[in-house]
Amino acid sequence: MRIPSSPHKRYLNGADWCLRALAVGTKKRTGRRLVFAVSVCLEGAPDPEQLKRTFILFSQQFPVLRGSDARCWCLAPYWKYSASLPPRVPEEIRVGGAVFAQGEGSLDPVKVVEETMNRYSAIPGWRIALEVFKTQSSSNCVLVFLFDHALFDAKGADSFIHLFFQKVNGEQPQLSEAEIAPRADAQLENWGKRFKDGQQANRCILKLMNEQTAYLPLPPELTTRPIRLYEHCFTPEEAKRIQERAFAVAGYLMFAPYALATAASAFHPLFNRPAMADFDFVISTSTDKQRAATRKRHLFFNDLSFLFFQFPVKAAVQRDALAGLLRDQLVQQARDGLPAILEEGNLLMRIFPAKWLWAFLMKFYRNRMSSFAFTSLGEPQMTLSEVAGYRVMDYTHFPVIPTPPGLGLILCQHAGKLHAVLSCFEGVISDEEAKAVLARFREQALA
Amino acid sequence: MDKDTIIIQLKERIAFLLDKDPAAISADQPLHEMGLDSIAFVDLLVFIEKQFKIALASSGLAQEDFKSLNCLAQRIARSAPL
Repeated sequence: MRIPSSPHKRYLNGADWCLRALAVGTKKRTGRRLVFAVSVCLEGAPDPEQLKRTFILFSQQFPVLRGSDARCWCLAPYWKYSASLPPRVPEEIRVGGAVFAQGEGSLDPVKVVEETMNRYSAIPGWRIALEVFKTQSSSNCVLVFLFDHALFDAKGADSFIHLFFQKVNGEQPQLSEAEIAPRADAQLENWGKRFKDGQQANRCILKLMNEQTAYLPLPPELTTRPIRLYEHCFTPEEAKRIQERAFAVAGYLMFAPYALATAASAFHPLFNRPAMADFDFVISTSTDKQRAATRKRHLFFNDLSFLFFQFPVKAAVQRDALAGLLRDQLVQQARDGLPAILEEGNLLMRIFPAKWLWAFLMKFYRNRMSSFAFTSLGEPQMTLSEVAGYRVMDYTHFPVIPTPPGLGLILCQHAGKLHAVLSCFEGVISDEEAKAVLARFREQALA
Repeated sequence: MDKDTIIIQLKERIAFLLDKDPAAISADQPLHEMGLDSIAFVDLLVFIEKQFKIALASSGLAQEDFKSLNCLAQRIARSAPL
């Protein structure tokens, strides 16, 4: 039976609900929300107050930002929101920032994002935020956008920022009704097929999982520990060289397997312990749904599926051979249609409350889930080169990594540059270890 | 199957993956300049496997085979079972 979406009622999909379960678990373990940030560095400093006012006005036109989870009689979770305009700026939309006096604060984007993310990830209620940072003397500024993963994935966030910048630039962004008030059916028909898809996906995943998943133990008292962010930026020339190496080593257009093999190789010394000599790396990575119908611009909710990779820890020392192995695993999962069947199967998982789903996933994955998280985002949907007349110098994604593993690497590109961002909770790895991972990643990506 | 028919089918698939008009896809452009990433490219490889019964993924994915849709179609036409 088809149960359609109604106005101000958007049914959540399987990826939305899995992320909700991860958010519940991460909150329980770390006290932090599952959010992510995007930093935008401008070569110049527009008026911060004007930017914030425009941001509030722009965001307020999306009633979906002022919603919350609810559950339908049919057991499917949905996003419930009202179209009525609130009398004042709703708590779901936040703005802030600072103008640092000489020598008072740092305009290093990573430090600024880290501080902002640590502050916001502990605050309940907000869905989207913008903080503007500049120094009195500096001619640059850093904009930090924060997004609740319950409502945004990386591509949706990019599209949202693109539209907001269009507004700042005095253009009138074209928005469809579906973007302002998104709708989605309950998708509860075809239970039989979806149950079979779920079984098939489970079999594929179980083949990858075993009791010997390599993991780094989480430190005690995680709720008192901050999120740590580290970044390395490859120049456009270096990024081009890495692409050429990827095509030569892993095969044409095989950047993602090459980058993952390089990441595993960079993380390897942390996992190279006698107790884990025969263990396997297991890595789950999110991927856009590769279908024309779903590649239309979307702003809200998670349009994702997942891929899984597994290989012996000791295989990470031979990066080139590993890149080939990961390419083969990627091709095999595409042949098996894993992202699509997982997406279908996940629709049935929505009948569990998020708390139960988290407990189930922890049991299913034997509390280890993955050795580290990895995502390769590519060029962003935000394609504007100027904002308010100022050049966009950098555009970078910074995630909070679900815990476990509480450790991950994300790659994103902008204007030919390649950014590698390592995100972890303090104590999962040390400051020196994190810097060493990025240094190894740099060295081996170019090798 | 002749090369032109193969090119038409490849263009349609790439247009589907990139949400573009097939007419906007040039048969002389390298695939990586069209905006395909690893995941979309693997989808194309699986399509080629199913449609033309050729496992290009196990051939090492040499860049020469994918210089353009023309080259790729030629490669498929050469290897496709009659």
